[in-house]
Amino acid sequence: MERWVTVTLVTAGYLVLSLLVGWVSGRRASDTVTGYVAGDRGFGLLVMYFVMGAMMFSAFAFLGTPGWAYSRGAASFYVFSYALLGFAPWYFLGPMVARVGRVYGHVTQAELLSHRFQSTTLSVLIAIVSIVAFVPYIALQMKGAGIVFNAVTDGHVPIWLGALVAYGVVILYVLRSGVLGVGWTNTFQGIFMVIIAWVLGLWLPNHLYGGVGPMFERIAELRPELLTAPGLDADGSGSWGWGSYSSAILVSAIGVTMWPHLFMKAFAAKDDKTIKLTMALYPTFLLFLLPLYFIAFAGVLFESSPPSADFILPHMILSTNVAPVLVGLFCAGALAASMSTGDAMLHASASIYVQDMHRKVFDRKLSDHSRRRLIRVLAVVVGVASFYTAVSTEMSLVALLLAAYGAIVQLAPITAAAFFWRRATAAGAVTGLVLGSLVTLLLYGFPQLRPFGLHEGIVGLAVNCLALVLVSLATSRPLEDHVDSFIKASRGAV
Amino acid sequence: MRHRLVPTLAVCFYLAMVFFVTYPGYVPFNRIQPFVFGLPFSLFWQVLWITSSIFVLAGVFFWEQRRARRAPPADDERQ
Repeated sequence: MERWVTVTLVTAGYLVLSLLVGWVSGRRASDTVTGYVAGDRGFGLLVMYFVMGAMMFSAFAFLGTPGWAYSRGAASFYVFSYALLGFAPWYFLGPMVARVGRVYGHVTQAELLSHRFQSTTLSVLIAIVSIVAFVPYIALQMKGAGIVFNAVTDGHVPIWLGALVAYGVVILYVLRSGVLGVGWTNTFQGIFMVIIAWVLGLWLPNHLYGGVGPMFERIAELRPELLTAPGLDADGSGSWGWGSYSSAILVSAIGVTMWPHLFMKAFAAKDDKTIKLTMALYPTFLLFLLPLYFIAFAGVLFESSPPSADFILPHMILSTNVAPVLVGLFCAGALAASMSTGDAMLHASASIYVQDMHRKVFDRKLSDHSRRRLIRVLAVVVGVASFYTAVSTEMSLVALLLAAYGAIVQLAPITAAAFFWRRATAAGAVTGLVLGSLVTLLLYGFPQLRPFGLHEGIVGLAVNCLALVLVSLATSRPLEDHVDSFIKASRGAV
Repeated sequence: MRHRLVPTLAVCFYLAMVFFVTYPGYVPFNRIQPFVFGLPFSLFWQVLWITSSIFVLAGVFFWEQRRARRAPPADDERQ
């Protein structure tokens, strides 16, 4: 049998298994929106741990981060820092979010924030910001899945077909099982991903250089510039600069904390203890990036180089005589990384549209049953829109994605104010969100306007905070009782 | 404010981390030598923060659990 056929068969087998896990898991969910979106608030430690971990480890982690390590060296170390700093606040924030959700029945981030500020406008704005951020991100995951398929089958499976097959499976289990499908497939895919990464990550440097230590010693001799931060810039010629390195960590960390699907998973948790333990254990999942770095650094002194840095992982696997079955398993691991992020986001964006926009603007009396049906329809719509974006655009995806990140960061001031600043008003929140997003977009489009070369998200954030504070102080106090009961609920004293 | 001490220390840990993994706190540790567990020191530094984080949050968790067992939870939250 030809090598690529074996690889494809192993990968296909993996997809079937994922589908099975996702399909079967939905049987236990209740037939309500809370069941479909928040898993009846019943996620235990195992599922929470892998949902949080596997969700963050996207196709970008499996292909992009090693690509950076390979071409830009220590610049990629920023991923370790922001991933940890972005999640750690959830140890404290997560339980607060979950408590408020339990008291008022929220299942999305916008529901929580618009409840605190009693503003429908805010709900719709947050929904728009979230969905605008989600579509390019899902598209990127799809493309990642397609690229892996394409690379390991020697080009026999085109990128669009690979993406279509992988996400066909995702759509099926998201439609059928909702968040439970996402939860249990992520558990399965997460375990799988970690094992594959460690096996290959330790085997490859050992096979090529006699171990991880000897490999880094050779790199230190021949390419020392790759091993110290801030690493190299995008074209690999000069230094990335400490300003860019540091502000990338800050913006990404705040952005990660604000991802709407993190809020939704906090609502899905069984109790506060589960969230806290998940967050305490989360860094162990982060260490799973390490073997991917090993594979990427093994490529630095390798005799051949991939067509582009993002292909470094498949390239190393394919050029070192790894057994076809292992290549297939690697392919499946990369698909797992892509699918376990894409599924959560598809599910989240569809739920957000229905809960926070459709229900508030078009049809206020939507029954629980029709909401669930609408979420399913929307999951398909968002899937198709993302697939179209993935197939039709070339480079601008990463560009779109960066702009989206700047937008997600703008949710941080409102969230902080909701929990910690009683005086914050709806007008302040809306003005801050709108101005911050506009400034970010403007500076994104015209980089020459950025003061001191700062990241556009940081500047937008400053404007956002300022507007939130000034407008809140200029408008009349929010209802004392309402804010009081919200904050009491978040502290667990109701 | 003894009941706040441990979480406050944890927050301080992450603030310190922000300092020590960006400019200028990272600079003294951003070096190739010495190798630790086969990793260049700059990379080991990142792994060290991640590993310590597990102990910090686990510490807060067990401290909170023990405190919750001692005092009835209602009084505990009212502060």
